[in-house]
Amino acid sequence: MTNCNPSLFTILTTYLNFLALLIFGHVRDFWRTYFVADSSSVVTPKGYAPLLKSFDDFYQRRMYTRIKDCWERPICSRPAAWIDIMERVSTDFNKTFTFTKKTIHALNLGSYNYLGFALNPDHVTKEIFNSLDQYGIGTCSPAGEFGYTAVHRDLEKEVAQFVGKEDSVVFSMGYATNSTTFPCLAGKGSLIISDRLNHTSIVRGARATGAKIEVFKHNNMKHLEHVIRQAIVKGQPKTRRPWKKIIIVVEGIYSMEGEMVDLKTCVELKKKYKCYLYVDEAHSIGAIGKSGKGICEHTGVDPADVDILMGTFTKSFGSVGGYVASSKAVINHIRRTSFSPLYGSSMPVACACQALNALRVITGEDGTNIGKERLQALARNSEYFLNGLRKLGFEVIADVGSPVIVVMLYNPGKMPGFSRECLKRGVAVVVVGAPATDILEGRVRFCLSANHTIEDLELALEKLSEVGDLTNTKYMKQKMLQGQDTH
Amino acid sequence: MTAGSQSFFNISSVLEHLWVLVSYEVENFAPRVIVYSLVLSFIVYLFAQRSYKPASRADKIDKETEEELINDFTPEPLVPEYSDDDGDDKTNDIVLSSFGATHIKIVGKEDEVLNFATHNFLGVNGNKEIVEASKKTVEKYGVGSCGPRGFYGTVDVHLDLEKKIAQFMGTNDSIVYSFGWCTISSVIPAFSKQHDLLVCDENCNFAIQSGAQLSRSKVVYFKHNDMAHLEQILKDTVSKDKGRPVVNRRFIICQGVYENHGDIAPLDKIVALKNKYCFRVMIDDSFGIGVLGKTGRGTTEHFDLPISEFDCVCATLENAFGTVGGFCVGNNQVVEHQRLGGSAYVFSASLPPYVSTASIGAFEYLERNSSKLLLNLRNNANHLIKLLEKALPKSLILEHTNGLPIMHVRVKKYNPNDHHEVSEKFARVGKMALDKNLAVARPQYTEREYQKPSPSIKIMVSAEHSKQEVEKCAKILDDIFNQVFEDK
Repeated sequence: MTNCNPSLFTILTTYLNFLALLIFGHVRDFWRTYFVADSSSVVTPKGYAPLLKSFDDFYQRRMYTRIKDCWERPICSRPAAWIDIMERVSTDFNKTFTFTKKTIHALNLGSYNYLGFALNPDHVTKEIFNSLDQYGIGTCSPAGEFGYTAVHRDLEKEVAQFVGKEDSVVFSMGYATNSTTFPCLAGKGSLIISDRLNHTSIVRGARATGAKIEVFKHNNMKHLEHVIRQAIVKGQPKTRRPWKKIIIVVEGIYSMEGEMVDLKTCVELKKKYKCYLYVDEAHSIGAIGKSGKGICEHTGVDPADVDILMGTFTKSFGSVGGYVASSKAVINHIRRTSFSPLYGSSMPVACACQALNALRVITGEDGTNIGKERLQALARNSEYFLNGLRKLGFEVIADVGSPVIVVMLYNPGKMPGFSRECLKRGVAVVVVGAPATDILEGRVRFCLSANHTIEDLELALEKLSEVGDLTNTKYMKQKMLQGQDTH
Repeated sequence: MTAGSQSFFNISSVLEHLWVLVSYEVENFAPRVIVYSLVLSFIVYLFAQRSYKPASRADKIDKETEEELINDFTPEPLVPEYSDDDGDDKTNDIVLSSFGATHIKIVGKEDEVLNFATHNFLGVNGNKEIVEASKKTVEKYGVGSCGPRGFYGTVDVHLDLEKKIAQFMGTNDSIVYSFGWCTISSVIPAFSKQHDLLVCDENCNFAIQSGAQLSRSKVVYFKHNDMAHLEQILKDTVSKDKGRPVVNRRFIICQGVYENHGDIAPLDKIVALKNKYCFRVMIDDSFGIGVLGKTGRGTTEHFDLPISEFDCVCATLENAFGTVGGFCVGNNQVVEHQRLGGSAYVFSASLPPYVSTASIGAFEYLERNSSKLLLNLRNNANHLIKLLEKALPKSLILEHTNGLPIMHVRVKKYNPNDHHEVSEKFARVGKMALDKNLAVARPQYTEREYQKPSPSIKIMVSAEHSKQEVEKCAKILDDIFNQVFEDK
């Protein structure tokens, strides 16, 4: 459960809201099945079971589709501080959309553009064009065959240096980085201890290993210690033999919470109990730490104490793909056995070039101050926005310094309300609810960028305040007014 | 029972009310009261119990033993050790410094290398027009899309690409993923869950096997392209129903073109079987798309089968189309479901906008030039096959299909005990070819494969290769194979 405190009234109304949605959905399904002959509904041929079973389908048809306009909003501009959202309308209750050919110019608080590389400095764009001329678009070959280029090699070297490890390997897709690397590291007889709120790619990767998976309460180091102790003492489930190895998996910044892992304690535990530690820095690399080196720099932990540092280039580098950084021996093993370098196409060269040049800008190797300025702008924006939201009375979940800031909405009815009202006022936000989060924990998540100016954020806070009043989501203010304890 | 609502806020009148009720019950329904009291007491007794925790081994162990067990714990190293010359599975040392339709440049080599090692079957990858269009997109949108499709990562070019693919394949809609490998391995678990049945060809690529494993469904493999065995499995499944309605979903999963063996699945027979036994079909046509069929629409067109016969057709854009990513086409329901149910679609950043533009360009290039490109491709493939088959040593076999630009040279009688020796020989072949400025691929496989293919040299032809280049490739390879695999 996220670190939030809904009041009893909020809990009750949220459950009631879901109940109402379920009842309405079932009533409408019943009506449609028995009273409406509709050519658009899918007919299951005789002798087959329906392709989509009850709840998967029910959720999508009767709950998600009602508020589908809040997601997959297409844009026709770069995902920088301001975006142009293509306006669309629906005449059949969100089943299909038509574009009105108009665009909505909105402040972008949803894209993962922490260091603003959606807006490249000119010299970076020039390098991208050169690489397109030299290498074309795709590499048409896995990295293990003929898909490995000089750009990939340089990127791997510089990433390893940046995060403080001996070597690294890059992958074409962030999701695939986790899901194809875990099977190299663990197998049957090993144990993976994963934070409860870890990303789906980690869950998929862990499942693909065949190892046993245990979960510990989100960011709760005491519970993690308890789980480790119990695991070592009890051993493997049926045979009671000792575990081959234990891997603890945490994230630098949890993307749905904006919270950072207590890495110092994690490292102490891993050393004490001889476990291995895997940190997924998808959202924290480039975004926190004085020089953008991620969670290790931010918490003052020596990168040598973390066995594997994984990250992605999608968020702070304006590219795609991911990397895994570790010792030479581990990277060598991953190169030989991970499914991505064996079977999947290697990272498109222009994207590798973008990541490489963005990295050089961040470290200042390109000879400019752009990197330093952007890091400072991001830190300033994160602090300003976090304080601003707290002052307004929203219930904010985020650690200081995190560019991901979450405001709790709880109620599934308030999510689309918040999203649509913000869009009307020219602010593009991302709302998330069940099943991506726990059922009670609908939220709006803001991602800040170095491209944002203070004026942009002031405007955002003004509009968010209006919407907060309209949707009655300033929960901390309400609690204060009711004389309850605040955080 | 009358409702004495006015007395609610008056405690004494409530108690009086209750007493009247109870005495009425006791007077008239004594047995009922006894039963109610017994049940109530039992409930109170249960609540009064302490919660039961089964005694676990850890609970029985004292602190000292616990500490001992913890101190004794000795984990394995995180990764196994490799000796320096692990011959066959050595990590690739080849680093490219440039890439073109028929030639590549490798770091450390001055001369250009003739490229028969990559999947750019149509030679689209370096096409100047497509590169220029991509540059314009980079100028407008930047490189990355900075978000998943659900969170402002949907750019208008993505929608254009999906429309283009749907139009090309002849369906209403399509869905685009940002990595080819993750496409089929996300689509399978999106539709098939626990209790469902997947009947897969034993030579399916690892992405399919991975998707099948993640789906937690029951997986049954049939012998490669063996329709009799497939029919047996389908028959057995249906016979177990005993006439009852079907409650689980059943899929046949195969590929259009099997890249590990250079052969084609008999899709016409598979479709006939699936209709007979009421199974659904999902195919991965990554190596058939842009290669087979009159207009390059893949294996389905090759067999003249309407796309509606297939529930899902997945393919990557990373081969014939020379870009990145993958797509899936099917009916509206199939595509819509993946927008929430396709794990790699929902939880991953979307395709970079310039890649979408390049992909659209690749489709248009194919549409405009399909007859010329496909003719060249097939002629080149057939020419190479003819030349290689003639001169290969007797101990080797060329796994191929006429007209397919992907072929493997393998040892005829492969014994798994000789794996190391065979791999080393093929590694030598690859190296010697490179010394003669020819690039051919040596595919590597994971140990987790259901049926790990034996070591081989993989040769891939492009539509852009000239006849002379094909002949040069055949000559170099024939010399090397005869040298390394001398007929004894």
